[in-house]
Parts: sequence; C-alpha cells; structure tokens
Amino acid sequence: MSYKHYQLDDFLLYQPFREWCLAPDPESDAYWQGVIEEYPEKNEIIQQARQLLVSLHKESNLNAPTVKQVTSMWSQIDHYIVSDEKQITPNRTFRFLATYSAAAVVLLVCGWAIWSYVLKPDYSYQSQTFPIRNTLIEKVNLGPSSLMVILPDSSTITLQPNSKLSYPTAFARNEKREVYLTGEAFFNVTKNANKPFFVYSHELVTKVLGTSFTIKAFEKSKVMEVAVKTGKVSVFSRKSKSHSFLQKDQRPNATLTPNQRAIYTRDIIDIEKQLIENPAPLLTPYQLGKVSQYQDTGVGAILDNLEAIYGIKIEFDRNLYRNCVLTASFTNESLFDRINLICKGLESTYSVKDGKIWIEGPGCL
Amino acid sequence: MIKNPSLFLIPFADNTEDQLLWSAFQQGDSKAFEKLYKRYVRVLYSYGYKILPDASVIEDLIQDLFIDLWQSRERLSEAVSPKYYLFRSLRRRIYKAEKRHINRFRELDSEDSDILPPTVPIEYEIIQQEGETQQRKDLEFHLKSLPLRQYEALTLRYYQDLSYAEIADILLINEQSVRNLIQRAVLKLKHLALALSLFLFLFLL
Repeated sequence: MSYKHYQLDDFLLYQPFREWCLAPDPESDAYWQGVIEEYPEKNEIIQQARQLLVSLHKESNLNAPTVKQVTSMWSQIDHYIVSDEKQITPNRTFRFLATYSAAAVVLLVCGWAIWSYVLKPDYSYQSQTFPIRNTLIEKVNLGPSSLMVILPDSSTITLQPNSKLSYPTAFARNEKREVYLTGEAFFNVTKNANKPFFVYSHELVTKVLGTSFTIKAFEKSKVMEVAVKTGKVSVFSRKSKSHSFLQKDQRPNATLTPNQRAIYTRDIIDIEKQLIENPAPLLTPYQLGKVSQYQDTGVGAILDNLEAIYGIKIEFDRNLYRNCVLTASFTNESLFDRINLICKGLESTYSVKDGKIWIEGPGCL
Repeated sequence: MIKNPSLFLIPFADNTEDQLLWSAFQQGDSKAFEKLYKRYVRVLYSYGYKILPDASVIEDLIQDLFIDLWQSRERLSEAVSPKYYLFRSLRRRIYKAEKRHINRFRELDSEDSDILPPTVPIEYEIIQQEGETQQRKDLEFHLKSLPLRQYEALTLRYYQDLSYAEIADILLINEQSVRNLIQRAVLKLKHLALALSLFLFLFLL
C-alpha cells in the first residue's frame, strides 16, 4: 500500500484510516505508526486528518440524543408501525385526505343548509300558513272518514283523512279567495267570477272561478293530482320557470276541463294532463236517457254526443268517418266501454293523450 | 477491525448492509426498520440538533421522518443509499421547520460572511506531539466557531462519508459550492490550529 500521493482528503475518506482514528486498537496503531515512519512527509497530514475526524466525532457525540430520547422517539414511531400492521390507524395520506374531505363535507352541509333554509323557496303547507296563522282557520281531519268544511263564501270542501285545510276567517271583498291544503280534498266552489278561488297545495296552485274538483296533494307523495269534475280549472307550478306565481300574467301549466286531471311530478316539476280513470257523465240521468239510443246514426253525431256527455274532447277525422253509421243502445256502460264498442264497429282503435280521446282507423267509404 | 460497533457503527456503516435492511423494511419487516432506526437515530439527531438546537423539534422531525418512511415504504425507490436518503429527508424537514420558526434560528447563509483566512507560511507548520491533546481540544472549539454550513458540509463529507453530489442535494446547493465550503472550512481549521501551535511554540520559548 503506497500513501505517497495521499492528501488530507484521501486519508479522511480511507476506511481503514477512519477506523484507526475512531476505534484504534494495537494492531491498527502499529500499522499506522509504520506508515508514518515510512512516509514522514505525510505525518502532518495524517495528524490533521486524525484530529479532524476525532473532533467531528466528538462534536457529533456532544449533540447525540440520550438513550431515553432514542427510546421515546422509537415508541412513538413503533406506535404507528403496530397500528399500520393492524390496519387500524389510517395512514398519513389518508389523514390528509380525511381532513380535507371533512372540510369539504362541512362546506357542503353548510351550503345545503343555507340553500334549504334561507335561499330555497319553501312552498310547504306549513311554511305558507305559519306566517299568517292568526288570520286563518285550520281544519284537520285525522279521523277515518271525510270531513265537510263550509267556507265563508259557502263553497264546500270535503276533506279526506290525514289532510289539513286552512282558510281565512273571512274572504275580503274584491280579493282573491285563498285556501291552503295538504292532503286530499274535493272542492265545490261557489261561482264568483270577480273573486277567483286559489288553492295552494305545496308548490302546486289551482285557480278556479267556480267549479268542482279534487286535489290530492300529500306532503310526502311524489305526485300531486288535480282532477276536475265540473267547470274549468287552471293549474300552476310554483317551481316552473315563470317563477313568481303572483304575477298577473302567469300562464297556467295546465288548463283542465271535466274528467281531466293534471298529474304533477314533483321531482321533475312536470305537469301532465290526463283523463281521469273513470270519466263521469256531466248530464243528469234524465238528459242521458235521451242521448243513449242510436239508430243508423252517423258516427260524427254519436261522438259529438259523447263529447258533450263527458265533457271530453274526442278527436277523429270527420272526412274519413263521414259515411259511417252505427246502431247502438247504451245504458250503464262507461265512457271507455262505449268508445270500445264504437271502435269495434268501425274497425278502429283509440288512444288517450293530452286529456283527449283520439280515434284512428280506415273510416268508411 | 471495529471494536465497539454500537458506538462507532455509523461512520463505518456498510452501505450494502444498509440496503439489505432497507429492502427488508420495504417489504414490511419492522425488525429491519428498527435496526435502521437504531443505526441512524443518533447521528441524525446530533446533526439536526447542531443545525436547529431545539430537542423537541428535532425529536418530532425524526419521529415524523421514520413514521412517513414506514408508511410510504412501498412507494420508496430501492436504489437509494439509505444514509443519504435519511440525511436528506431530515435536512428537508429542518428547512421547513426553520421556515415555520424563522426567527428562532441563525441565518442560513452565514458562510457568506466568512472571510478566507490568510495563507499560512509553510515554515510555521510545526506540530508538536506534546501539544496534540491541547490542539485537538482547540480544534473542537474551532469546529464550533465554523459557520454552520461549513460545519455541515465538513461533517457530511468526512464524518458521514457522503459524496459531494449527495451533500449538494442535501444542502440545496451545487457541488462546487460544497467543495468551496469544505475547502474553506479545512483552511480555516488549519490556520487556527497552526496559529495556536505557533503561539504555544513562541510562548514556550
């Protein structure tokens, strides 16, 4: 081994030399003593290197932690190792994510709460009636059978079980008649063209002048329904785009005539006009008797009669059916039974769409 | 031969052995991890404490370092020199801690204020065997008087046996700056040591 060209740096980094400096023993002492004798010109560098290493080592030891510190640090670290192996404590990345997720959740919840309680319009029965509860009379039907309520204008309302109705102690002059409903009720409204009658049932508003109709508007149900028996009924959604219902010119989302109903789907804020399941004749049995016997009668006339009896529009191609004649006698058949019979005779089919009955077929030549 | 491995383990730590421990720990061997900790905790602590003399902060940093190390073990690269990785990681954490407690610590760039010592004439290079113990003590004292960055470079280079490139990465400077730091430190120590021995020599006369 030649140290002829060794500089300070070389000695400092030479592993056997480092071992001799920091952990000398008789063997290494003898060896390096021999090196110094062999290379006396390197003695100074060797001494400097040795002193530097020893000093660095002492300096390092000076700041070294105590055994207690080493043990206590390890017990902290070990805690995580144990936890990690048991898969209990989430790792730090997860903790980081969890912290931010939690913050995000808090923000979302706050935002939702603000939206729900402050910004979002609330059209529930409760929120609409509560502010003006002192001016209202509330009828609640918790019993098993229906409850008859007579309003100050002598309109009658049949309140079904599990339903509530609020109405003013008196309807002011020349003003709207406004009542609030949650649940189901049949309204028979006294006609007064100057004082339109409004039923507020959650986000659904029904406007009539003087008619009879049923509203089904339970708070928790997904759909609400307005079914008309007589007269003309306008139905509005408070959640529709033209928002402020109280503006005069808001167009109704649906205008209903007898035997029609509006189905309001609350999720999608959609009003669909349908026929009620069992349309009832608008005429008295006496009047009905006169228009139930047909002898070689033109189909157009028969369908016009049905339209009049039920108040339901029947659409068909008058030109195509111009030459069709039928002989029929109706007694207790429902509307749809009658339509079915007529369609059989005409080899036609019918469908119900948009509150109307549509008849299609080849017609008669 | 190493006679007292527990005391002198670190400067002679065999990197091959380190790497074996490292890969074992990466595969979830907690015993290997503990060995690695015991191997390095003392030097890491004393290195950190020298830079940032706050025991509780350094303890926390070292704990966090090892906890993070364990928890990210599957993502760590294998080809690393564990010693270099540990020193670098601790130093980074100290930088962050220093930023948090900026007022509490000495300036980082104090080496800039260090003036190069005058060149020592060769004829004064006399080392007396009798004076060696005294000289060594004084060298220790002079180590303390070195600017921190010079000390760091010196101890990482000669005590921890890290490469210039590794030290450059740890100290966030380039390699040439590391060389300069070490050169200045060695010159200063030599100068101080020789000035002292000259003084002693003259005094004894």
